[in-house]
Amino acid sequence: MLSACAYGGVLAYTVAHSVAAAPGTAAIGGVGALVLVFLLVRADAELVAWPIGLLGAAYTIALVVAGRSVDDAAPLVGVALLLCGELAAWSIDERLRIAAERAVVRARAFALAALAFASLAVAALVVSLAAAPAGGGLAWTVLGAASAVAVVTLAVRLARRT
Amino acid sequence: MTRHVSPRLASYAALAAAGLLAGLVLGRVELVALAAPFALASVAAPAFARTPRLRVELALDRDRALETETVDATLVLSAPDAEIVDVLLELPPELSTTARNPRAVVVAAGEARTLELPLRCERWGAFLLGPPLVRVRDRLGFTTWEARLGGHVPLRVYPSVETLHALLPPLETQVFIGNQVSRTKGDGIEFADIRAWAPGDRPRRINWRATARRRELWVNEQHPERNTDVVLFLDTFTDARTGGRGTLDLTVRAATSLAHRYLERKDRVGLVSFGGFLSWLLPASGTRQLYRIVDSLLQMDIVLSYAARDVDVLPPRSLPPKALVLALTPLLDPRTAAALLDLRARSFDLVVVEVSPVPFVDPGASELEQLAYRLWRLSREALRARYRQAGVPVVEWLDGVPLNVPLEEVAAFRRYARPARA
Repeated sequence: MLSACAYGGVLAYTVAHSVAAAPGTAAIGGVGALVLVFLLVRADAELVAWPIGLLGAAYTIALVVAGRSVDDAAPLVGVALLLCGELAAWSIDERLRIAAERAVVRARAFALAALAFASLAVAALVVSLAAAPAGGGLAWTVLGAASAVAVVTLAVRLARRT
Repeated sequence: MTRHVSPRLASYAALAAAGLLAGLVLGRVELVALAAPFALASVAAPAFARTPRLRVELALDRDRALETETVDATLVLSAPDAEIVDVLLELPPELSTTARNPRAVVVAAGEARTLELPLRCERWGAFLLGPPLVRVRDRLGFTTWEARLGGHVPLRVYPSVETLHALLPPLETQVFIGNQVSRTKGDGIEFADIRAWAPGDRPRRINWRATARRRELWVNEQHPERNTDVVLFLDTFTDARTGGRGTLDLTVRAATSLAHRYLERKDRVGLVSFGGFLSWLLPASGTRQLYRIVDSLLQMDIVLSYAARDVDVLPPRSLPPKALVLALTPLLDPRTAAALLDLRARSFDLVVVEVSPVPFVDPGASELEQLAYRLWRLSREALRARYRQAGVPVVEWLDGVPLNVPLEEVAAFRRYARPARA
């Protein structure tokens, strides 16, 4: 339920962010919502990335259509999407017939809250750094591309390990 | 420990990569901010993951119990670092617990966590419990480690013993002292007859009343108390089973009760398990033999076999002469039926207790199924008639009926019928 709430909140914000792109973003977000409901009903944790990806794509479209101004709420959107995925995964884990004591639930809730706050801090730092007048240039572009390549490499390695 | 990484982590890394690339291509910092939480999760989860050093000890408060009794299992978990542990003690269907199993617990750093599992013994059997399956996971469940830790503990659950008021006496007794009044005459307590005095007779045996009446010496004769040999012949070729109960359960319970009771009165008891897996215990007496028999019964199982088998495969000492052969059989396999008739033909004192499979068989709904069911019951009736014709008492024992009832029926049969002698 909390996962669906987080998803619904981001979807509403995305649709409201760009009225011009609202039909498209609503359609993509709606498909993502269906996928989210499907994975929650079927308890299939492997599909968790799909609704997040679809909603992320809808948000991207909304950003592009809305224009050049920086959206200050982007860190909150990112954290909400992460919470959506994590809460969905937690919900699926709870379906297993493992009786968890209160301390286990508390530990996971604290860990999730810590991850959310740390993510919010990092995302906010990214947005605030982007606003700083650091200038452009090849060096920044190369650094950005290297970061992207590093993350892709990490993703591939993790995919192989799983 | 086997390590598993959640597929969620790879998905998050892929989302982070896609967000960063999209941010670069489109020149939007928001997309980088969108990807940042996923990138952080992808990096932080493996960075904080460390192989747990968990110790698990499994113990039972005792290693032997009776059916319906409760045995306390204790799991002690300890680790130098705080861990979240899912622990499962796999139980055979014959054991159940009211405690939560599996369960997820927090093991504090450097402290031992004790979990109690009361195990209710639903059915007899020899079990090897453990090692428990443990799964240690990080706080968010990105990485898990699984292993079986803690070792095995054996548990033997003995079948409950039914109170038997009377036992079947064999037609002939053995030569050793026991509690069974022999049909022969000799030294004993029970009066048998009087006869004329013969040289060597003790004066204390003189029947003075008869001597006075006949004016010559007459002495009393007694029936001696002897022991008997009883062989429990168990048919383990096949089992009719439904809803967790079956003919094998009844057979084992009856065999335990009979062995217990016969051994109590100093008889020698042997055991023959005649089925896909053949086993036997030579007749002996005493408490040790009781434990041997019960331990053997705990291992008993139905082993499917198409091998032709008759009583010739049994060692001669497992079926001693003059022994009472008490067969417990559902009369489902023709090999047992033939072997029992063979034993009767060899002049063994044979009693067949038919552990009825009828309560465990569904007659079916269709006309054809019900016809087949009626034919099957008729064929069983015909088989019983064959045994009776051979002078073998055969009684049907239904689930829920005390074992005393079929034994009393056999006693009544033997009161009026005797096996024919060639």
